[in-house]
Parts: sequence; structure tokens; C-alpha cells
Amino acid sequence: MSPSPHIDEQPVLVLDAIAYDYVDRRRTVPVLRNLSVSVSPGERLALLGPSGSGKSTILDIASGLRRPTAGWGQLLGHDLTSSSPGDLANLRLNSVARIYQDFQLFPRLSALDNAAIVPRLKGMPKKQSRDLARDALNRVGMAHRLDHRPSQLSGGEQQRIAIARALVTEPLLLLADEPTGSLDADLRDEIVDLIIEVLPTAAIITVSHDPEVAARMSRTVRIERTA
Amino acid sequence: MTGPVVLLRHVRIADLVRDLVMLVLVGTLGAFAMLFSARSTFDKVIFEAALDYEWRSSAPAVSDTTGALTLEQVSSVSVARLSDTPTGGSRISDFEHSVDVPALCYDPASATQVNQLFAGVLADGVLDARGVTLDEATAYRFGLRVGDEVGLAVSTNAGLVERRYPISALVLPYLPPTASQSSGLVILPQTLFEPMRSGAGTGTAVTYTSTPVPGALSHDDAIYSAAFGAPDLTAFVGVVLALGIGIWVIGNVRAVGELAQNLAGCARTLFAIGLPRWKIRATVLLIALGLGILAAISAVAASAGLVTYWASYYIQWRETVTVAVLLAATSALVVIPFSRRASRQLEESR
Ligand SMILES: Nc1ncnc2c1ncn2[C@@H]1O[C@H](COP(=O)(O)OP(=O)(O)OP(=O)(O)O)[C@@H](O)[C@H]1O
Ligand SMILES: [Mg+2]
Repeated sequence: MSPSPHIDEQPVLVLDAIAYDYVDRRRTVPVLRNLSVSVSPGERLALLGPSGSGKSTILDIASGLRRPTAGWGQLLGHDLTSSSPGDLANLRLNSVARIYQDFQLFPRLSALDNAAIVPRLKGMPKKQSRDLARDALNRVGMAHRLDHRPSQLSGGEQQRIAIARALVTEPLLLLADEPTGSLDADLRDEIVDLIIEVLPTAAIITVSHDPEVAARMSRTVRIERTA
Repeated sequence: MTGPVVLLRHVRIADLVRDLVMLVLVGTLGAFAMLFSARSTFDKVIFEAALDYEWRSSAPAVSDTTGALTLEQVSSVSVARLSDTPTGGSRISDFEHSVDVPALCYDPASATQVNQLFAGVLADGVLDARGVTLDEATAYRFGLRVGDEVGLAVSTNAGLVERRYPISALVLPYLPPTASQSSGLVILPQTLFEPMRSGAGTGTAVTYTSTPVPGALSHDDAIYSAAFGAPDLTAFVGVVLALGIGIWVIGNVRAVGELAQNLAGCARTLFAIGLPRWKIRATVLLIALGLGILAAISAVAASAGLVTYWASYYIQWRETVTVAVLLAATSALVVIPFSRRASRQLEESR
């Protein structure tokens, strides 16, 4: 299934003059100010910035999990400020994959079922989903740990489950939050190669403190901490 | 389908069981208060005061027979529970347990007056031509309810004659004026007694006015009066009900809070992956409602058993059902807004 040339030309993600404040009853934490970025299909963007500058928040906004406080955004042609939560959930399920900074694995599911969750949620039969997941786990070097639960795995192993989960879905946009933070240098290079190999046409946004990872991307965006 | 299953797999069964047990305990207390206050003897126990539902005086016998109701009193009909027969056999003499009680027979044509006469001591059902009526104590002794079948036997010249009949009503322990101290009572239409009579001879005719036992209230009137009648009692019953419902609500809030907390992480991840919010909400709602309803039913069953065992009161099905529905509805009122709030938070958090 190759996207039509018309969609190809359109940016996957547009963020235009985005601002974001965390607001609760007692205080307001301003995080993002006037952020604009556009990502085209196949483009690989490294998102850099100091800790607490709002990188994970940007990924939340880009996937429709948070609505920007100000500004405008578009994900695969859907307005991020006005689309319904159901619409955005559907978009995430079908076209966006994310590797979470803290992995967000399901503690009660095996590594195999964790990696198979997206096709399962899309309605693919169990066996077929598991075949896809097994293949992805194999590629991240986790074939020997299919039956283990996340709590029985090391940090780097859990991270590779999270990566496998994102890779099985063939997303149009991959949001990778420190995807190699728990891996050694050799494994890191292998995994970055793998991601690029498996998703050659997807737009990728990678958050990383690692200059080696940033160097593998086609473009770099640096954000500063909002005072 | 899968999303809800993933959520379900993240419910901790031990927690759920603990919450269920706690809810059942709390609900049993609440339901006990409600079921007990539905019986006006309540006020006798608590207040030594004046609801007359439990009045056990006898019906007024009259000598003037115009416009009066005549019942035939037959001494000694054996009553037994059918399942007591060792082999499911047919003879009451085979029964391991039976009691001999006085019987009253009435002409089915006068069913209306008969029902009037017993209105004040009727625990459940209606006296009708299709079935027999037992007193509450005998029914309790055999674990019988309205609708069950009971075996009756009469000793005649031709030997023991027995029949099995459905129970159509229960009356409170009550002695007809001419009865000896023997406890228990069976009331049946002549049409049902006739086939057992052969050679048994006739009983004594007893004439009553067809007005209820003096000062007696019907079951419904007694409940109404406990709830709204006497100001003291109304306030007391109100407080008992409020306490019952109150602890039930607190128990539910706690259980649902715990459940939501339990599932929050898993629900957020599923939402982030792209499971629609309504599916998450519906799943949490179903689990919580299931828990509430299961707990409500168990609690009411337990407390009805407790009331029956402790006070040997007969609790009508409609009372049991009413209290169960009340508890389940209260539980839903707690759970629905809670799950809505929880699902709104999904969007705002990672
Ligand atoms: N729920 C919240 N309420 C208030 N402030 C928050 C909340 N979540 C995050 N923040 C704040 O928003 C800022 C940006 O957070 P974010 O997680 O996006 O940073 P980050 O760039 O990903 O940092 P890191 O590199 O450490 O992962 C931080 O200062 C953080 O304290
Ligand atoms: Mg972060």
C-alpha cells in the first residue's frame, strides 16, 4: 500500500506557532512558546533540547493527546485543535506509532502480546498479529524473551519491546522519545539502522540527547527552555 | 473487543474480591436496616410502641350470623415439606418431619371476606382457590415460601389421605379463637380440602365478622406507617435508611476509586495507542457496575437470610427485590459520573 502522490506532497505534521501551558488548579506551567515545525513524508527530524524543555509535550501534541493552548496544528490533514478525540484516537491507531520515554508497556501482558497490541486493536486476528510481533521482536533481538512480562526484563530489553511494538504497525509518523536511551552503543546503532530500514518512507521525529542518533536524522530542531 | 480484554487482564482479581467482600458487608448492613424496618415489629423491638401489624390477637367470633363469615375448623392436618420424603416418595408418613396443625376451611365464594379477615396478618400473597395458606412459623420451620408446594395429610377412617398443594399466602403467627395452644395454622378453600375429607367427618363451624383482626394494619399499611406515619418512627426509619444508603455509597466510591486507580495506567496507554475513549469508559463502567450489582444482590440475599434467621421474619420477594434495586441504582449513580470524570482525564494525561 503506497500513499498517493498527492498525500506524499503534503506534510505529515504541521505545528504552527504552538504554545502549551500545563494548567492545574493551583498554578500554570508555561512550557512551549511559538513553536513552528513541519515534517514531510520520509523526513527524519531530531528534536533536541534540555531536560524539561517540552520535547515529550511536543510529541503529545503532535499525536493529538494534548490540545495546544495557542497556535494551530495538523496531523495527516486532521486539525489538531478542532478534531474530536475519537477522530484523533483513530488517527493514532492507524497512522501514528510512538516509542515512549518510559516505554508504557502493559505489565500483565507478555512481550509478544505487548508487541502485538496495535494490530490486535485494529482487529487483526490473534495469530496474524502475533506473527507480525514475533518477527519484529526477532529483529530487535528479543526472540528469546517472547513469554516474559515486562517486569522480568531489563530496561534495555523493555525498550526493545517498545520499539518492536512501534515497528509492527507501519506508521506514517513515528514519534520516538529517547528510543535508545537504555541501550549500549552497538545496540543503539543497530536499532537506529533497523528503524530506518523498516520504515523507509515514514516521517520520524526522534527526541534524543545522543549526538550520534541526531546525526542519523535528516534535520535537527532545537528547542530552548521556556523561562 | 481486544482493548476491553486488555483492560480486564489488568484488573487485579484479589483487589476486586476484597472490594466485593467489603461491599457485601457494607450492603448487608444497609439492606438489613431497610428490610428490618420494612417489618413493623421493628418498632416493637426498638420502641415497645404501637404499630399493630404484629398484633396476634384473634379474630372476633360472632354469634349473630347475618353478614358474617363462617369457617370450618378441622383439627390436625399434617404439614410437611415434600423434599423431605427420602425417596421423593408419596406418603406423608414417610416424611422425616411433619407437624400437625389446626386447619381452617373456607368457601371459595367468600374469598373476598376471607382476605379481608386476614388482611392484617398477611405476610405475603393472597388467599385464593388455587392454593393453601400457612402461618409464617410453620413456613419458616420447613423453609417454605409462597409459590412452593407443600404436602398435607389427614387421617381418616380409610387411612391417611394426602395431597400436595401450592402455597398461595402466608399469615403471621396467629391463633383462631377456638384453637388450643397448638401452634401453626393452615387455611385452605373447601374445594382443596374436600378430596381429603372422605370419612374424616366434619369439623367445627366458627363464625367471624369479616373485618380484620382488631387494630391490625395490612402489610403495606404497616410499611407506609413506619415510613410516614408516626413522626418519631418516621424520623428513626429515615435515619436508619440514610445510614444504610450512606455506608453503601461510601463503600462504592471507595471501590470505584480503587478500580479506576488500578486501571489508570493501562487505560492511558490504550488511549494513547488509539483505543477510543468510549470503549475504555464502557469497560470500566461495566466492571464497576457488575461489581456493584453483584455486591447489591449478595448483600440483600445475606441480609434477608439474616433477618429470617435472627427474627424468623418472612421477607417478601418484592421487598428483597426493591432493596436490591435500590442498592444497585445507588451504586450506578455513584459509578456513572465517576467513570465519566475518569475518562475525561485520559485526554489530559500521558
Ligand atoms: N502534568 C504536568 N503538570 C505540570 N507540569 C508538567 C506536567 N508534565 C510536564 N510538566 C512540565 O513541563 C515541562 C516539559 O516537560 P516534558 O516532559 O515535555 O520535558 P522533556 O523535554 O521531555 O524533558 P526530558 O528530556 O527530561 O524528558 C517540564 O518542566 C515538566 O516539569
Ligand atoms: Mg521527555
